[in-house]
Parts: sequence; structure tokens; C-alpha cells
Amino acid sequence: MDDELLLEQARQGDSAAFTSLVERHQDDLYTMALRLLGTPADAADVVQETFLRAYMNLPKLRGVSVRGWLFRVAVNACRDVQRRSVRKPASPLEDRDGKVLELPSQDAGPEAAAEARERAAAIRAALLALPVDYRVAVVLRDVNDLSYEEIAEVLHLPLGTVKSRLSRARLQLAGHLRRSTVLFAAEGQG
Amino acid sequence: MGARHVDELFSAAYDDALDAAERRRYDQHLGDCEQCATAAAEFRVAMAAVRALPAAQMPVRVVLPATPPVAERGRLGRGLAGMPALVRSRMTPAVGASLMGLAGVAAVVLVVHGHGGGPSANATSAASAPNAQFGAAGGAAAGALPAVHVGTCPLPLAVTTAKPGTSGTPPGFANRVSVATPQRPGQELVLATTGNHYAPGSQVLVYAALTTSSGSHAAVVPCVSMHTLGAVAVVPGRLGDSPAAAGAAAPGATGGGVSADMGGGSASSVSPVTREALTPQQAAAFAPYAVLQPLAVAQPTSSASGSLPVQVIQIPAGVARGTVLRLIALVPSGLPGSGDSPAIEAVLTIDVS
Repeated sequence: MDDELLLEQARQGDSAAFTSLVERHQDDLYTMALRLLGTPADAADVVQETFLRAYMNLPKLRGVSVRGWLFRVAVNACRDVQRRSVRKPASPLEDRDGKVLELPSQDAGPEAAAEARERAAAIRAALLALPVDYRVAVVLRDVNDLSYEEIAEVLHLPLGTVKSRLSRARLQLAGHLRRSTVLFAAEGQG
Repeated sequence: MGARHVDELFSAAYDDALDAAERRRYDQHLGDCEQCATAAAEFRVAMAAVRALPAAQMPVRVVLPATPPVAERGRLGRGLAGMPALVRSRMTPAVGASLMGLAGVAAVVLVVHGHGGGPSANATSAASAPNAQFGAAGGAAAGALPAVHVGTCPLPLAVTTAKPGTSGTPPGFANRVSVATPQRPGQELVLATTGNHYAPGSQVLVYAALTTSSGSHAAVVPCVSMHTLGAVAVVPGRLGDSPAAAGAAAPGATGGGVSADMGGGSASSVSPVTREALTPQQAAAFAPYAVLQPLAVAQPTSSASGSLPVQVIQIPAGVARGTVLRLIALVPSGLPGSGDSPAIEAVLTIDVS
């Protein structure tokens, strides 16, 4: 069943249909928020808020891509979190809860697992080091695998702007990672 | 070597989104320019690494309003019928009746919540006579109020320590309710404001604390948020940063900034409770508030109030005069400390006039 059908059913008052939408999209939205914010609890808040807003705005959600709408709300919620976040800057070091959820497979042995964790931490840190707009673009494209067109819809930007922003963002990210011995040393050994 | 480096094409090339002319230029340049060829290879490695980050899973259940999905709820006259039974049952008859009698009334809820908390079947919403006897977090309360973030609330459920011998609600908090339950011996949940009537846009000073008369002089300071009926009020949130972080956030902290042992004598510390730690059952304890829509959230007062568990909540300017606002302070089960103490809540109404 596609999103739009579920949306229509939810609009008719079918809570189970809305729950299906939540289950379908919550992990994608959570992953996005986690990569943007770096803190699991903030990311979970963002997802919660996003679905609440969707729920409250059901009658207005006509003729929209559910996924795009959810991403847009979630991205904006992440920006709000960042604006208010005077408590502390996002730090990948505090991503401990997220790491628990993302432990790589232990099949390859503890050393490889440790290396993979280190590499993942370096990548998360590099993402968090990007300016917010760049980070959003890269996360939507390379974490959530949205198309250029979807990103343009989510961010309300012209397609050309999306492409150029993504290009600059990825170059900057690659630049950060090039300095990361974790990533390229590991590659060299492989 | 080609005329211009092509790093601006790396991104589109990676997505296979180059047009024919760009593709020719890209391929040709990379064939000639070792620098760009290396950079392009590194770019691809970096992008592949980013894409290889594992997906994360939403760690907690999304809480949704119990009412059917309808927009622009929030008018109580309409929303009350759809309220879950648990919420209705929590209303005192007088409050329920007065709410139903008022079309378009809004509700303000100050929700105190914290550690876990099963379905709060034992929750009480009784307004008892003011009771001055409780031993902690009084006027001269000392110690830190480690700011701990709960859900959407900026101020936080926190645990503070108080000087022995201090007691009572601070002077001026005349509109006061205190609640106690036999299952929480020696504890008292106090919710108080300085008045009953507030103008739209005005600020309400709220004193809220779960205190104990037993020896350890600790109080749970609530997260406070303001809500109207119609949407989720409060969802279970994480209760803490690390104790170290909390202590650092409160420079002046005397010992035991986050430690509390309301019932016993030992100085056991309350571990930060994360949202992730909530079981679905505990999370469900907050579900009854799913019909409440946030109006505003409280802000901790500035240093002027020292370590008093006093918070400020602003009534939005748009709230109509005559609106009855409802303040709820809820401490879920098992907080503070450990054990199976039941949830406890207090309800206080103010009106906008």
C-alpha cells in the first residue's frame, strides 16, 4: 500500500493507517536527524515532533508526497533544535546511544569491528563539522538516498541549487575525510 | 593535462548525473590529470564510506494522540468527547464539569514527569489543604538544579538537594495544591502559583516540587510545559545528560547535585534516565496527555531565584480571557530513587482574565 493511500485512510480517521506511516518512515527520519544533530535523544524528539505535526495537519496534507513532507518537517525541526541548542554543541563523542544501535557486525572479529567503529565515528564527526546547510544536503542525499528532485522538494530549493550545494558539501566532506587517517589508512591496508 | 580541474563535477559524476558534455570533459580531464584522478578516487571512497554508515533505529515508540486524526482540534468543547478515559477519569468532577460548560476553553498543563512511570493508576489529583510541612527545597534550598532535558521541555525534571531545616513553599505562592499518597510516605507534591488570575501574555511563576520530610532533603523539580487540549502534551523524554555534564551546567553545585534518596538514608545517586530506557509500558504512562497541545513551555528562572524549584511559564498573548488553564504536575512511578512508588500528580487551575 502506498503512502498516499495510507494518508487518505488516516485522514478518514484510521489510526492504524497513520501508525503504518509512522512505522514505515520513523527509522529513516531518525537516522537523518541523528546524522544532522549527533545526539540520539534530540533525534528521537525530532521524529516524535514530526509525526505529531503530521497528525495534526492531516486534513491539510493533500496532494503532497508524504515522505517529502515528513522530511521537510523533520529537517526544520532539526534546525530548531540546533538553534535552541545552547546547552552544548553537537559532539560525536556523545553519540554513545547511537553507537549502541549501530554496532557493526562482530563477524569480522573484534579488531575489525573496532576499526569500523572508529571509521564510523570519524565520518559522523566529519558530517557534524559541515555547515548546517551542507550537512542537510549530504545527509538527505547520502544517508537517506533522496534524489535531487526529492531534496529540492524537501528544501524548497531549485534543482540547480541543490546540485551545487551538494557538490560543495561533498567536496568539503571529502576534504575532511581525506585528512582522516582512519578512513584512508584502512583503505590502504585493504 | 586539461585546462581546468574538474572537482566541481565529482559530485554529479558520483551520482552519474553528468550530461554528455560534462561527462566527456570529466573523463578526458581525469585521464590527463593525476591530481584530479586521485582526488576523484578519494572522493568516491569518502562518499562510499558515508553511505556505508549503518542506518539507525528509532529507539522509542512514537506517541500519538489518542483521538482520531483531525486537524485544528484544541477546542475543548469538541475535544473532550474524544479524550481517553484515563484523562477524563483524572479530572476532578468539578474541573471536568466546568471545562465542559465552557465552550472553547483551553487547558494549560504543567506536567511533571520523570523516571519511567508505569500507567499511573494510583495517580491522585486531589487538592488538599495547604500543608507547610515538607522538609526540602524550601525557601533557602541550597544545591544545584541540574538542568535535565525532558521531552520538549527545556526545564527538566531534576533533583535538588536542600539544606536541612528548610521547608515550605516560598512566600507569595498562595494558589497552592499539595498532594500526598500513602504509597509515598513522607513525600509531598506541591504545585503553586502566586495567583489565580492572569492576563493574556503574562508570566506565571510556578513552584513545583516533590519533596520529602524525611532526612535526605531532596526534591524533584519538574519539567513544566503548557498545553491546550488537542494534541500531545508531553512525551517521555530523556531525563538526563550525564551527571558530570549536569554538574558542570550548574556551577555552584554543592555535593550531590543529582543525587537523591528521598526515602532512605544513603546518598545513592539518581542515574540519568534516558528516554531510550523507558519501556513501552512506561511510555504509555504519558499517553493520556496525548490530547493536550503544547501552548508554551516553562523557563527556569534566572539566578535571582537561586536554586528554588521555581519556573516561569508564559501564557500566550492570544489566549482568550475567560479561558481556564489547567496545570498538572506529574511524577511518574519509581522516581526519585528506585522502588515501586506509584505515580503522583497534582492539578491546579488558573484562569485568564
